[in-house]
Amino acid sequence: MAKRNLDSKGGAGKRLSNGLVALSSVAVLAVYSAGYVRTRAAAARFEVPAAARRGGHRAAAAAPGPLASDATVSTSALIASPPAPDIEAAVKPAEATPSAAQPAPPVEPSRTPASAIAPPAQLPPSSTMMASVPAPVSAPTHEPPASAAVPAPAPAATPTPAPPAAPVRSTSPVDAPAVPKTASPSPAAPLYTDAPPVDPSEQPFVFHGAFKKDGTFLGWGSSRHGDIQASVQIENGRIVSAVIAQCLTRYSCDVIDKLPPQVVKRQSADVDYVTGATESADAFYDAIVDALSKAK
Amino acid sequence: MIRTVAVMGTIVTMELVERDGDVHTLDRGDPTAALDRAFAWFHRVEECCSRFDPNSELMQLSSRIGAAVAVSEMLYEMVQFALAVAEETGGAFDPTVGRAMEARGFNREHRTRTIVRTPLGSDVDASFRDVALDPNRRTIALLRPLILDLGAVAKGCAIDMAARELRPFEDFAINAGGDLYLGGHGPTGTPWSIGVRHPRQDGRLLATLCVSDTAVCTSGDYERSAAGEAGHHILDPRSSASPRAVASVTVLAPTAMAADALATAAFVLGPREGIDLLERQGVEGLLVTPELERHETLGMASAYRGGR
Repeated sequence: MAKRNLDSKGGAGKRLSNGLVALSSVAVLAVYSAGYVRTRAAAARFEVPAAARRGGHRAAAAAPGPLASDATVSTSALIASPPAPDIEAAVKPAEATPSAAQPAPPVEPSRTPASAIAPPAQLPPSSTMMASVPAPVSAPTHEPPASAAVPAPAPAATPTPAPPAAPVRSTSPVDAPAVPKTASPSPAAPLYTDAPPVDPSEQPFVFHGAFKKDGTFLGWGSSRHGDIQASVQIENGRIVSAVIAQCLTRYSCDVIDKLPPQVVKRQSADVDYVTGATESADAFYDAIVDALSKAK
Repeated sequence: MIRTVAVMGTIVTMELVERDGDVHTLDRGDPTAALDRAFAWFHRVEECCSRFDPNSELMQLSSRIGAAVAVSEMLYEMVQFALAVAEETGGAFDPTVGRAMEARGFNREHRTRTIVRTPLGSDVDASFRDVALDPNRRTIALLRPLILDLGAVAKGCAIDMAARELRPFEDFAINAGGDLYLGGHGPTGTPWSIGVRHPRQDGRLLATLCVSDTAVCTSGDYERSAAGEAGHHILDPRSSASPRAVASVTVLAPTAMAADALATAAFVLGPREGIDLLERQGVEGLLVTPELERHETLGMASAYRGGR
């Protein structure tokens, strides 16, 4: 029986182990890093000083557009994403690819067993150092390129040189040879210090325009437990709130009715969160979408 | 500080645990901005790989059969990871099931409620082996008409990105439609207490976990049933049918990408092979059959609250 298969815990199978976990960790780092690289490029185009940009978050909310699909429960500034068409170019795949100059991952002591240090052949070599995922957040380099503010290449940021070659993927994302490594600060570097809040949110998340009508709209969503009605408020073409107006489910609505309020807290008295509880959320989502369709 | 947003066809909640009444400290940064960034990743992932938006990068890729298409880092990494899982599971997990999903009614665009049909020629035999990656040029080529479905991987990826954004705050939770990442400790200062939904009895929990700095993802047969048809949202790519041997699988892993993909794969593989896979990959998991028979990894016991 598998569950008692000790061999798989320590034996040969295990050596291959963590392969996917390590690979996912590499992917997370690569994507995250690329996000910052691209963001930096976008920031350069804006040439907005950090302070101004920070202050501009609210102002940007009036900008047309993005996030039309956001049924944000909180009315607080959602994601400031000034739709700047020229950024689009910056994130075009063709350009984004070269920008894959990954900030080198901070070397982090691997929390995974030694077995993970010998990743399967198809793994990027550098996966070894990122076996535990949420590696220390490499303080994103937010400075406008004008200041040539590539962070000092801390020693820790030097990517582990490729161990002998992974046949399949000898070129790993974090080991792209052609591109100069953009080093990231050492893990000890302060996080998000005075850096401007440049981030993926500054990418234009364009979602097919704003809603045409302002007001409060009701919509229904169904689950096999019954229906719920959502009330969505739109101002200036953007969603400012979404709450459940009615809950006609045949079982206790306690999962659902705690969703919309800004204080979306506990799904149960006993636990902080529940895994695998998606259905009610779908109903709420559908109800919101239904309501939004009336605002078009 | 807590915020909820509807995105990627689900409801996403993120919570930063406040300590001493204030999460806003200098060395951690602005919590509101961190939440902005964390949610931004969800939008970005959705924008990249929605199957329902013909303009998404994913669908653009699907419209260029045979060509090596330069793609974003995000799409490349997600596809690469999905293919690795497919390889590891002998195709039990396969990101090329998009066509079969569509045939089964999973083609409703949640945002607009329109039904999408991709105008591609059907190629039911296509599999993950028909996707070619070029790691040097960072291109993806679909060798046959197929639709990539990155569902599990994409949501996991978004969760992992958000987790990185919130990491400076140490104690945080991300809940994307029942797939979770728990950073540090909960409001009580102890590890997060997480209920595993009972696959057959609403409102009841199958188990209660006590976790920290880990992703917890569940694949269950109770999720979104296909329109007008028996079956749930997970297909066995090898048979295009819904697996019946498992009611739910919960996986704990360092990344949500891994947890989500492995939960889906274990669901398809069934109790024995599924648990084998989890052990082999060094993650913990709890699998329940429709008869409520439990199977779990060796190390799972340590994750139960109160030692079980």
